[in-house]
Amino acid sequence: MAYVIAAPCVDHNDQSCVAACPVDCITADPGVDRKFYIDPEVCIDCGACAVACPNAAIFRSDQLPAAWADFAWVDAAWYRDPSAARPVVDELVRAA
Amino acid sequence: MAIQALPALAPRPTPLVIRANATLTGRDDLSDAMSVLRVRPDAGVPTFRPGQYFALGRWIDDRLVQRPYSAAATTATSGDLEFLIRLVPGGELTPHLWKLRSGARLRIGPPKGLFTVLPDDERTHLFVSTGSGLAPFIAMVDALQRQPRPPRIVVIHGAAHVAELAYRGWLEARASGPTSRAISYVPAISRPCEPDNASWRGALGRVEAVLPRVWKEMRLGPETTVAYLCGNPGMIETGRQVLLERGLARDAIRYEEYWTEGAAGTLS
Repeated sequence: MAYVIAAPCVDHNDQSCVAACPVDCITADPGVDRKFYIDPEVCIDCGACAVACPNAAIFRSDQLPAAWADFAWVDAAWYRDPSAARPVVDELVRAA
Repeated sequence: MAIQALPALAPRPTPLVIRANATLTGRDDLSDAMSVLRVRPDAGVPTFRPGQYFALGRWIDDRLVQRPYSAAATTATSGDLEFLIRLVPGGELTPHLWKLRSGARLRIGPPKGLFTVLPDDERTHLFVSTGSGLAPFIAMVDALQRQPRPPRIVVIHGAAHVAELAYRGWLEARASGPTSRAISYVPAISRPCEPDNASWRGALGRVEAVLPRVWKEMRLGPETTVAYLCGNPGMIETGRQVLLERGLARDAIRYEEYWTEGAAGTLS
């Protein structure tokens, strides 16, 4: 399990989660990405990011609202290939 | 709306991770379940804000297991960080930490976290904690007292056992200092009937039950107090309620929860 950053993060660029994450598993490419991404293979499920997020955008993967379920794929995919993840973010935002 | 047919995730290369970058330089075992660990980062103690935490980790079964712990203090002369840690039976990390002796190597992350004191805040600082939740407050009190004009400071610390009143001597020394800089320190024991607590003559009961009496006796006011709570979620929830009922504004109550599994501050 890991935490996932969902739609409310998009275009906000708040970085409280980055400041809170004890294992530095949240990042993004400034100026390119519309949201931040949690690396599920490093996340220790501490929840500090979710507490810190002012946009209520972060959820445990097993508590992710169904409408945002694909953001779990997005976060995991970004750490393999950011260029594959970014269009999906755009599509999810358009679909909302 | 979910998108159909997202491709399967490809395998990814193992990320490059520093295996160890710090040494355990000492430990004080307060009880079977609570210890102060002193850790010396190879690169020296980084600049951090009192209240912040560091991820401590060990490689266990070829996997890096990390948990965040608030820095209780930095021993300036030795370059060590101190962490107040509770053993979580069956936890992923603490049973391994408990076996370590001086010289063991650890992985330590950068200082992180937003639970810090506000700058130039002249209000009375009321620190309420249970167990290892005291840790960030030691660093905060130390920093506040180094200010030219420290604010009034009240520390309430609850523990089940007298032996787990961590930093008791350190806090008592500051409570008996010069009047203008003395803090108020209220240790409380929640299990007075335990044999090892028989000699205790101080406050009794859970912290949330002690809090109303302290609030009254010390004549704390809602307009002139900022409260920091750290410890188990139950104490924080009840403690917040007690403070709200006394007129403290929501933004004057700052808190960090310590879960037994998975939250910033401490853990298994």
